[in-house]
Amino acid sequence: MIQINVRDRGRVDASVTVEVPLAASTVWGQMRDITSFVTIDPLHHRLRLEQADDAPFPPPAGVAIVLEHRLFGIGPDRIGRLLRWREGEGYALSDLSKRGVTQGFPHICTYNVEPVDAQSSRVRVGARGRWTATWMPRWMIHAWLRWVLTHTEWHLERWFRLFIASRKQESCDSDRSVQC
Amino acid sequence: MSVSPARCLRCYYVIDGLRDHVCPECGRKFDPLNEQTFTRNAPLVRWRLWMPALLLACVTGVLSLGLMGLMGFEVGWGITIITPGVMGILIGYRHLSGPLSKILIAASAVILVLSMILAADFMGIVCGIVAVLMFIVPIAIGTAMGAGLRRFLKTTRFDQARWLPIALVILPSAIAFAEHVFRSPGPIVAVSTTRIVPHTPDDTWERLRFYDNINTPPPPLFTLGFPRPVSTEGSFTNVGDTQVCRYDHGFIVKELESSEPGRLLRFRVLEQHVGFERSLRLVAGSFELDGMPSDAPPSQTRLTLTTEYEVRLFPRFAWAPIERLYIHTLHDYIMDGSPFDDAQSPDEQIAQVEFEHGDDANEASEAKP
Repeated sequence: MIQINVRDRGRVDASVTVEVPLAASTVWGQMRDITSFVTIDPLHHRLRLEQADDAPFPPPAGVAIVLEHRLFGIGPDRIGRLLRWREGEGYALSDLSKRGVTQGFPHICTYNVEPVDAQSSRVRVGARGRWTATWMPRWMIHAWLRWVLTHTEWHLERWFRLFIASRKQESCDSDRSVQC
Repeated sequence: MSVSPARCLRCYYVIDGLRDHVCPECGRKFDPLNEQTFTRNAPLVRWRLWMPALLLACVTGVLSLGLMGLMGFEVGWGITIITPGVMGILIGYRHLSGPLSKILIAASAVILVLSMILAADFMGIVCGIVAVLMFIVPIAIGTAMGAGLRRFLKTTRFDQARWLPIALVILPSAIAFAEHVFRSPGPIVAVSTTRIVPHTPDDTWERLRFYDNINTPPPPLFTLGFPRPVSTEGSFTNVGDTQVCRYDHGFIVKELESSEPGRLLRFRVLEQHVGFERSLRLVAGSFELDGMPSDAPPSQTRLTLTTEYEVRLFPRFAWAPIERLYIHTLHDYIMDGSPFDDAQSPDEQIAQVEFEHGDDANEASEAKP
């Protein structure tokens, strides 16, 4: 489900929620791979944590990040910080322009999972910030965010579908019977 | 460059930074200092979903089609139906994703196998195209059967299922081998094409002499690579005369078997070297001329071209339509491109040939009965 709110003075609150047929703990087990998981956003090409390779995991809140944004291979590297890491629930990071915090849609990205029941969970990916390109009509902002979130939704569904299929295949390969 | 996070060997939970050295998802223990107890490979390795099924299908196809090319196995049930069918069964059985994904894997397997066979020169382009069309139905049915087989085996206690793909890979080659060992000569079949030509039977008989000198562009089927006649050397004057019919990729030697002017010209094929010897062996051919009923316009003749050949491709329901298509196209090509259809008289034809070929044509016209 996609929700987009663009209010006065460019305040943006957008999110996509996907129900996954996996337990929340299983989903969180995959979301912990933060550098891979944040690339479900079609613009997020790569996340670099500005810390040593042997630094503790999970990264502490406040660690600097570089979030490479690419569309058709072109785009800026944006900066930010890991703002929150709640084990088993989710994390948040800031996504800012190198030109300054008042430029280029400064926003916070949140990634959360919550259980629906023992076998399914809800994954929510959100973006909250301020749209700084004030010349752009509101419908155009809506259209752009919808495109991004639709792709995020698609990537999320595909990610977990593939994970489920991989696990199924894995159990079939390791199991000596065909009970899979 | 940062390393991939450590994951549980069993469930791929990201175990980096966990206080207890036990996977919270599946309970498997790990030692962060021992790389053997965890993995850094991601679970989302796409090729593991489709590669095994595709590989099995390709090995099956290459094995049986390769044996056909290397050992001269006949094209029979083993190669035409069982091979694509088993390729489909393996895909349906081994590939666990949805139907669309199975269709993509099946299409890729057919294209890959035939590309390899074409690259090895075991098959021509036309045969490759025909084989792709021929494989579609068996591989589709096989894929559905494979998925059904998997479902069925889940309900049984059969514990040898892991060997099943190996048995299936060998099956088409084994059947092709059995067909090769117990083969018997195929039946002789005849394909005829009849057309009403706007000439009297005598006039048409005269024009028959030029039927192999075809100057019209070949139909699309021939441009794809089917052999087509281009010229004739020698003449049919007396019974026993031989003629060499040149094709674009070889030749056929024919011997005049019977000649009834104005009614029948029948020849048998002595040698065939046109590239489709494994597919069919030409045996004989004839031109039959019939006068038209009395109520039909005068100066019309019913001309029937017949080609007789020994069948070498099985099963017949799959190959017979393609053979008929080729023979009818060949007949149409001869009749469309030869003097039967144009307004030139035989004398004009002779003059044109003399102009084009000089002395050779004179010899041909002198040899005229």
